[in-house]
Amino acid sequence: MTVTDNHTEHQDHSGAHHEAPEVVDGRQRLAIWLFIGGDFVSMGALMFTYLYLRGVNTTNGWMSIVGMPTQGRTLATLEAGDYTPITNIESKLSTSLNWEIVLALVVSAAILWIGERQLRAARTNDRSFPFYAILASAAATVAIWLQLEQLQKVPQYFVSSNDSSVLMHTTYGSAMMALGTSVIIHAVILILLGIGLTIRSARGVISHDRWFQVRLVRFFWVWVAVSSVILGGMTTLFAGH
Amino acid sequence: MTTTLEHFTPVGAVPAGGGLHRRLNFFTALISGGLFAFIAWALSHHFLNSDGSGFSDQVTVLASIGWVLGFELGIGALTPIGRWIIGKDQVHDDELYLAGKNMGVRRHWKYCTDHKVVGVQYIVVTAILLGAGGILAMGIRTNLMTPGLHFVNQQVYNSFLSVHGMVMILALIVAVAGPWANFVVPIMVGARDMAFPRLNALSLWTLVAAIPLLLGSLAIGGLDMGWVTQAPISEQTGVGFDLFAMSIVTFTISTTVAGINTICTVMTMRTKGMNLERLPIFVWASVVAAALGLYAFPFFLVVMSLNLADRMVGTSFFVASQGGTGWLQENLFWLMGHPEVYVILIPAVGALMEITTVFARKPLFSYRTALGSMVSLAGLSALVWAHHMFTTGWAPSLGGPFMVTTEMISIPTGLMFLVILGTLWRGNIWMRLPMYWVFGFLFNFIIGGVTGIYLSDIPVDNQMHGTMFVVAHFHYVFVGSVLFGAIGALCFWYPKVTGRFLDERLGKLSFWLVFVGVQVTFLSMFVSGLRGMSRRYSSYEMIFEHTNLVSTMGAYTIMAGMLVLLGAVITSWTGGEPSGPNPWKSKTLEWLVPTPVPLENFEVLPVITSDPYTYGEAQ
Amino acid sequence: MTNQNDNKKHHRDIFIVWALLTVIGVLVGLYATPWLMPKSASHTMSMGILTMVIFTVAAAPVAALVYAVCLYALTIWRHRGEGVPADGPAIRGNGPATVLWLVGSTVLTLFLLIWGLGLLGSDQSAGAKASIEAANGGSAEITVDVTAQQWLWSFSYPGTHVKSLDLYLPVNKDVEFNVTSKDVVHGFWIVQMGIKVNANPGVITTTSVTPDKIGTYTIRCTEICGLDHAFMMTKVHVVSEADFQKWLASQPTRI
Repeated sequence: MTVTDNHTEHQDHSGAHHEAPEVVDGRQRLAIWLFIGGDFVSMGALMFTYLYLRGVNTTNGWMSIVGMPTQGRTLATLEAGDYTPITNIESKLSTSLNWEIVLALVVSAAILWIGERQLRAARTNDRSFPFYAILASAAATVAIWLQLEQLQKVPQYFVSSNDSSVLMHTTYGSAMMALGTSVIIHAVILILLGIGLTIRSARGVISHDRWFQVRLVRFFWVWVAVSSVILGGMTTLFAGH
Repeated sequence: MTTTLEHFTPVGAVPAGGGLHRRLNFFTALISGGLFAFIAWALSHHFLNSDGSGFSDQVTVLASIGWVLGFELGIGALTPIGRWIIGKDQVHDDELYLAGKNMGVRRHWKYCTDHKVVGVQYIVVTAILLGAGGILAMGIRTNLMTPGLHFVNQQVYNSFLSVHGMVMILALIVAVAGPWANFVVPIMVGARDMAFPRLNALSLWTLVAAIPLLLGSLAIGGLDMGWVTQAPISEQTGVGFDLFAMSIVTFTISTTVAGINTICTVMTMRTKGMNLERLPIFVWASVVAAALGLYAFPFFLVVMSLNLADRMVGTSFFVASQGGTGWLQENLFWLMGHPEVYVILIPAVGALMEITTVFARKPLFSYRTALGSMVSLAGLSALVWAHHMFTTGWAPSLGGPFMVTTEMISIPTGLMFLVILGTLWRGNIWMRLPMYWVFGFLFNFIIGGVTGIYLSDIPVDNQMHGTMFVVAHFHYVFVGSVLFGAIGALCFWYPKVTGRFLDERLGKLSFWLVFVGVQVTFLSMFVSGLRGMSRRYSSYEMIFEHTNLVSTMGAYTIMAGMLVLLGAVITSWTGGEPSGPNPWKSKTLEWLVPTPVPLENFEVLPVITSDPYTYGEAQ
Repeated sequence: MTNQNDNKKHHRDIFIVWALLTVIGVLVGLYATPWLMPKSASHTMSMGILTMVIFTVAAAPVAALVYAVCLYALTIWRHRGEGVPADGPAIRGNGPATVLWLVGSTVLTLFLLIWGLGLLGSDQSAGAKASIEAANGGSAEITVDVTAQQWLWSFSYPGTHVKSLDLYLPVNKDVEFNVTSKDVVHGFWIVQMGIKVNANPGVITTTSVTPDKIGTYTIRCTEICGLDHAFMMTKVHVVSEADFQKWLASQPTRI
């Protein structure tokens, strides 16, 4: 090999080597795709968990003893059998808010994407992007609130012995909790990213000429929305009885 | 005899930038981590109904999160993220400060983005993990020297073996990839640093944050579930398990970031002319292992989280009486656990292949076979996980298919032998210290690999699963093969890092002690297993006493060898014979830059016209 | 050219070393392996030991090849003298050698696979059988329910009222074990009979064997199950059919 200058960099007055922005962006795009790949695998692991438990628990366990504590009782004052059984199967399922959550995430991704297109279109002095970014974050916040609502309705039951009651979740409830927690964690990341984009664009670090990072965030944001669609579909299709 | 640390001493002023980082280092991280852990512990202890002992599951987990967050804040790893969010990006002076320009030795105690510093930091972390795991191993073997619990009781012994397993697994995951994928790979591809230098520092310090959690689990509460954390025992066991699991969760973050960094560096930062077929084989090994890790470690994160949820929140994933199943835990665990051993193996083999070309003075034999065997090994490894579950009673009808995929793996493994043997063929074998470890690897890996094939056969596995035969098998692979690769890599690249040779006499002494120790310890352990001794036993029947005594003597020999090696590494760092920039007359790029390697590696980025294996060819 | 003659010499010498090492390996496989393993008390175990012997014999030439080349490299090809050696020949690959290696290793793997799958398919050698098979009757002549708990094994004989901490079995009769656990996962292993299956809480797993030798054998736990995992062992007594019935009759009746 020879050791001569390959002319891919330029040096500025302070001697720092700089690479072209497209080169840096290409690198960052690969990184985001790899990260999404790893996230895809963890979603796969959670789906494996849900489907496995659903598969082995077609009658017992999946729904088990399903009930809500009788009004006015707390965990400390609960006694054996002191709950109201739920007989209506639809009420046992937690999927009622599924599509609302998905909608919130899809809408937030759409808002971001539209904002990005606005930013990239050849319009000078357009200062609208910060509003898109913060709006997208707000929609993600709504998704978190809805997800928390859904988690409240997860079927649970009580194991009582003589002197204490222990709150346990059915395997169905457990699996829903795992998926719900994952959605919340992802949505929190989205909110942080959205706040960052809002501030950066307000300060001018992100602009019509420098929008690469918006696209990177958009890739991840859309992935979270897509994954919520997949999970929503799975929990609706394989909800059980 | 010129050299002291002179040319390692800074010759200019420390850059003006850095901001908060100017005040942050490992010690501020320790203080900050401890503070946040205490606050998290106190708050959660106060507000959650703990059982009064001070350490319920929820409290322990929340305190762990406090520790990690505090540590990361205290080292400055979260500062770049915070600055991005508020739109105040780093300027050039900040970047120079973070790269440690002109800061001398003390930059190794800080969050430093220079991949060479991160590489050295990983050497230290690996040494700490190997040391801790080694002490636990000596505890295990000392207890097993004679039958009866003469050294420690069952509870302590079970804790020793659980933590020994996990610590050593972590040590080996980073043993080759940590130091050398960081220090060497960017230079090998002709880059000035890794793709994401700040993420590089983040991945190292996140790993450091995980270590006290893992070692702390020993102190807090008994662990008796092995490193495989099978449910339900892992849900029954003491509060130490929560620290154990949180250390793994922390580790998976570190390794995911590091893996992405390695792949992006190699795929997007190769210098002009460095096309994919001219990459040194070690670079490919690092990429393949990183990609495999990206697939495997999310399963680890999920299974530990589900286990913690069962313990903390009353979910029923693995609780049979509530409809869950331990088999789910085993599937998730081994979906990670089998690819993970190839994440461990492939960088070690890549390093040894690199060493063989230099010390046989020959091109790599069949570069495409080498690459193909690594890729197919990684791909197949995702399809074999249930061979760890042959005797669990889960899905007996799947036994046949998993037996097929597992035995198929022996074919790419065998091809790796072909590549190394073919490289040795008619070479001029230069028996310097790194080469010893190559031959040791070849001797040991045949034994380790073949005994793995035995275990893949279900009728044999029905007899051998859960016995010391399995333990001997994987120690031949982990200690006899991977560790030999890691030490060989250290001996090989030591002159590049320090400018001095690792003491050859001490190095060869340590080789013979470790090599002989491995044979004595683990051949004897095969016999224990063949005769019927189960594994994870704190004590055993009289019929196994002789083989166990012999194993323990072998273990002490290995310990002696590793201590000699440690002594050699420390004394040679400043007192060894000066080596010059390319003592091995190797052709890969890292040897063509000066020692010590300048901050940005190259004056001007090179243009590559051939691969680095042109031995014996006209230039 | 000296190259070709050299190569022929290398091939011949390495072949000799390889042959010697192979013979040693085969002898180890044939004699050391069975000697080190427990004495068989069932057909399953005998086949298991035979499999170990065959695998060792098959592995011998592979290991011998690696060791022979290593020995040769360490002696004949070793660079002696100071300083960096001269470059070796620029051998980038060898098509025929690679193909031969690939084909050879594939054939060997297939052979081991066919042997193993064949053994797996045959009745007595299967390890943990599906509970479904057991529910459909199977071919067992006796059934024993094995219950594992921290830290002991207990046995009961369905169809009788016998529950015992001792396991007695009649010789030459197929026995099917239904194994379960009261708490955590344990591993049920009859060492000299070559069968092993885990005991899981809330599930029944099965394995079966035909003991073919009268004697006393060992049961050990093989999955870490807590404090006294190392002490969770008991004995199985294989006796004649008559002695077995006598023993059953002598057991106190427990409902």
